[in-house]
Amino acid sequence: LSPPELALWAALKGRKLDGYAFRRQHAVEPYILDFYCEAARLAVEVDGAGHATPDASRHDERRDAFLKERGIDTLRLSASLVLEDRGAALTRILDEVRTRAPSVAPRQLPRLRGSI
Amino acid sequence: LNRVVILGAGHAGGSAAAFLRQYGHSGPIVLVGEEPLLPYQRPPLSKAWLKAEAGEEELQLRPPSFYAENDIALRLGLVATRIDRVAKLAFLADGEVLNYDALIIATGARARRLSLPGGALARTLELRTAADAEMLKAGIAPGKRLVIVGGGYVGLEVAASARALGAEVLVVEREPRILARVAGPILSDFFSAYHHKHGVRFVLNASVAALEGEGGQVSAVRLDDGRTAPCDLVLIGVGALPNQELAQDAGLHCDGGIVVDEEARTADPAIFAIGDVTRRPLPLYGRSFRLESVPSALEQAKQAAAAITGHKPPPPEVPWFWSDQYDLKLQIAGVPFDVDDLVVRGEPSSARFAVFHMKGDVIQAVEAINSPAEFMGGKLLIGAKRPVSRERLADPAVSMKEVGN
Repeated sequence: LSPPELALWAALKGRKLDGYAFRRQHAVEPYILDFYCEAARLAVEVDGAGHATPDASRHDERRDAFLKERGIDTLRLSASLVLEDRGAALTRILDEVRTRAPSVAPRQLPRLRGSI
Repeated sequence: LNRVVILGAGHAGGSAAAFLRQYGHSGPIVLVGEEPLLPYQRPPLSKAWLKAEAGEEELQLRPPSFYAENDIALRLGLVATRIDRVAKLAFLADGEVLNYDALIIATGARARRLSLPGGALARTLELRTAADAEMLKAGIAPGKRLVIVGGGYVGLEVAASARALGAEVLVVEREPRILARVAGPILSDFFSAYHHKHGVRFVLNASVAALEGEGGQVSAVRLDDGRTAPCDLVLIGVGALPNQELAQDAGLHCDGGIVVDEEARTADPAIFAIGDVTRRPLPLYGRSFRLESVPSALEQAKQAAAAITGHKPPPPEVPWFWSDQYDLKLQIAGVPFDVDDLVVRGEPSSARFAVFHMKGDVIQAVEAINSPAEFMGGKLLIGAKRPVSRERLADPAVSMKEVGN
């Protein structure tokens, strides 16, 4: 995982984000999604600088349309946003999953004991 | 890019934001407050504010323009619901997620509630926030009958203010004396007599059994011995509890307050806690305590800001407190731990005296009524742990500078 992906994964793994389960590097042939929440049918992609080129953005559009046909929406976040303000990035993810799957009950989190 | 998130925008949280800028913190600061108000001072709520001698603007900790000028982002009317310590995130009730490099918990305390039959009746109030004070103010008027449950500082300050506004006041106290948890017996007797003189009535050794109502509004307080006191308004002032649940749920050690060290840091190096919500070390006394006071909150705000910005921590302070009632100014320095004797300086009947709490020849605490020199002098001697001569201390003719042993 890239540094921005690692930063998100620390917050998403273990159903920590309001009880929503995320997988990373989830395959929907022929694509691999950075993060995927099944309950919300949401793909979260972290786009590096390479996604700015015309070629890349055509590729992204094809891919988003392919997933859309399968009922999966894609939330694209720029790597720089994730690195500079991961709170803002997570706010957008949380907003999307809550809108798309409001029924997922927040799970009681295990209590951490002592320092990490 | 070092982001500090402050949860709680009271005296502690608001001051921490200001100290961070003062100490040169240049990264983002986000201040989250439960009340829909800019940080304000709570002490006047029971005093000048209640008597309409101070308005909303005078209550504010800093002018409204201060926050924009200092690039302090405000999230008011919001609480944090959860902290993710691993990912260093705070989750707000409206769905916003804030990442932090340092987190300061300043969630304060809340009024302790009594589970009484009739406790939900209208005009049964507590006093913690400006909104509480607004309701109290609206209910106090000449001839109105106010029953105050709890003879602590909040109760007595409101009693004095309510008398000034012409209301009738009855204080119900469970202990045999008022101020039982927070002052010595000499002070209790003195305040009791002073309030009596101003027309406040007391029932001691009495618990409230129930509140009685008419048309959904409280109309009487029933005591456990069956007596009832008719009233128009009830104020419950029986202490405060730390708002520590957020920290507890995040696995931070709490023991009657979030446990912090001399830098106001919790066991998690990225998380600080300050103000009424903490159980903090008092190096001067070699023990930890939860202090509910503005000076302590300010001290810890400085400690946290210093630690975050890499400055030297402020030197250990002598805790102090104050209360204003009628024309009395009570100032307390120190905490009376391990006290074996008292020295009284001045005559209580003159309403100008000080009570020194002694451990051997060392002053542990001083309670000073209208005696600023005794307060200041005592505070210095407490901080220095300097032995004094009890005889000279007891003699008001000897200057406080000359009581040293």
